[in-house]
Amino acid sequence: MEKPAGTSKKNIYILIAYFFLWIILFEYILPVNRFLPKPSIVILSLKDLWNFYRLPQNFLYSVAAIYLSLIVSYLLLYFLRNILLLKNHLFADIILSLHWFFKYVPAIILGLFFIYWLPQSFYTEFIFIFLTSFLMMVIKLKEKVPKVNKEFIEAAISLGAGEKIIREKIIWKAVQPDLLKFFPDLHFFLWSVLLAFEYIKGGFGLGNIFRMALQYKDLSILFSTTAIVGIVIYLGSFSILYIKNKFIHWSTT
Amino acid sequence: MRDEPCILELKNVSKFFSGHSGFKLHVLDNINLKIESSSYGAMFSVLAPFGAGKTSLLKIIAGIEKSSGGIVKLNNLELDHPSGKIVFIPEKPSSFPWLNVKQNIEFVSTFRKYKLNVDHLINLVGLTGYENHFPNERSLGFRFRISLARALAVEPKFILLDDPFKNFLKETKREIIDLIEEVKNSSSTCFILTTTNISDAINLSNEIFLMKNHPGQIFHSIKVERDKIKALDKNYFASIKNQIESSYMAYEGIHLISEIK
Repeated sequence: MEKPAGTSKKNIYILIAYFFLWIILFEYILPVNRFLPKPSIVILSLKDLWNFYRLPQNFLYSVAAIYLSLIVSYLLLYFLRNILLLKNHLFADIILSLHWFFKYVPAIILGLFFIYWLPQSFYTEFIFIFLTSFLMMVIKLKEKVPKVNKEFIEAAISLGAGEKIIREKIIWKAVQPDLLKFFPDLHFFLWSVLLAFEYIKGGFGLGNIFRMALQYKDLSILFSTTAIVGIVIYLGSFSILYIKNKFIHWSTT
Repeated sequence: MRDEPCILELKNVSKFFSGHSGFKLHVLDNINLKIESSSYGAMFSVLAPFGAGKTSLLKIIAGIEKSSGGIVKLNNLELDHPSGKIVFIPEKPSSFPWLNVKQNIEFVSTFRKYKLNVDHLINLVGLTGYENHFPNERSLGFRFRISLARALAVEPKFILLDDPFKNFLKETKREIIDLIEEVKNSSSTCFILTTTNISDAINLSNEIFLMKNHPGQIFHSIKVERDKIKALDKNYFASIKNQIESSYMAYEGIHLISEIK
C-alpha cells in the first residue's frame, strides 16, 4: 500500500529518537531555554490547552472546514464532471481562468478579501477553503485530461460510445489515480492556508490557538498545538491514501 | 452466426497532418480499397513498412479520424462517424483497467440497448474463470482477449487490428493467432490486420494489400489460398513471398523490402 511520504520504518525510528532526545535535552540538560519547552511543562499545559484555549471546539472547527471542503469539492467535481470535461465550455473556461490567481496571487491573500467581505463565521472559512480546494481539483483534473491514454478513448469511440459516455465512463475514470495521488499535497496545502487564514481572522480554529499562544508567549501551547496539527495532517494523508488504494485500485500508466 | 456479406470501400482516401510551423505531412495518398466480406469470416492484411500510415488508415476506416479527402463506404453508405459496425483495436492495450473482464465487455451495454451474451463472449476468447479479474498487471495477451471480446460484443462487420502481434511473446502470439482463427470461423466477422511482417500476412490472410510509405499508398493486392497455407504448402508460401517482394521491388526498389520483415 502506498503510504504518506516520510512514514517508512526508518523515518519513524528517527522521529522516536528525536522525541527521546527532546526529553533528555530539554527536561534535564536545558530545562530553561527559548527554543523548545520542557516536556513536563508541555504535559502540564495540556489542561490549559483543553480549557483555556478551547482545544475541542477549535479542533473540530478546523477539521470540519478542511474535510467538509474536501468532500464537498470532490462531490461537486463528480457531479459537474460532464461539464468540466468538455473541451470548450464557458463554465469550465471561467473556472480555469481563475487558475491565473492561484498561480500568481497566494491563496491566503485572496483569503484576506474573504475576511474583509464576509462576516466572521464558520461559513466564511468553509467557503474560502472549499473554493480553494475545488479550484485546485478542477485545475488538476484539466491538467490530467490530455494525458489520458488515447487508446481507451479510441476503443470506446469505435465501439460506438457517445461523447458523454466517454467523458463520464472513460476520461473521468482514467484520471482518478492521478487526481487522488494529488490529494495528500492538496490536503497539506489546505491546512497551511487554513491555519494562516484562522490566524489572521481570529475567532475560532487551530490557527487562532497559535495566535493566542504567540500573544501570551506560551511556548508549550505552541509546541503541543504544532504536534496536534502534525498528527492530524499525517492521519489525514494516511486516510486519503487508504481511500485511494481501496477504491482506485488501477493505474493507467 | 452467419450474416449477409458486406462491402467496405475506400475511394481516393488521403490524409494530411499539419504541424504548428505550417509544415504539411502527406500521410496517405489516394487510397482505393474494396473489401468484400463473405458470409464466413475472413482476414485481410495491409502489409506496409513502418511509418506508412497504417494506423491512420485504420482510424479513418473506423471513423475515429477524419480523412482529408475521399470517402469510406460500407454497403454503399458513406461512413462519417463510428457506428460500431467497424471496431478498431489499437496496438497498445485498450481494455479499461478500472473494470474487470466481465465489466469491460458489459461496458458496451451502457450505450447499446440489447442483451449481451457475456458468458459466451468470455468463453469464446478463453477467459472463462477470469470474469472478475482486472486487466491491470496482466499480460498483453490477456488484455487483447478482453479487447477482442468487447469488440465482438457490438457484433461488428469488421474488426480492425493495428499491428497486434508486435509486442507479444512468441507463445502468446501463437495463442492469439489461433484465437483469431477460431473467432473468424465461428462468426461472420472479418478482420483487417495491419502488419510489417510478411509471414504473418501470408499465414493469416485471404488477401494482402501492399502499401508503400511517404506517402502511404496501396499499390497492389495478392489473394492467398487459405487451404494451401493451412496444408503448410512451403512452395506456395514461398511463391506468395516472392510475389510480395518482387512487387515491392518493382514499385519502390529494394529499400522497402528491408523495412518489412
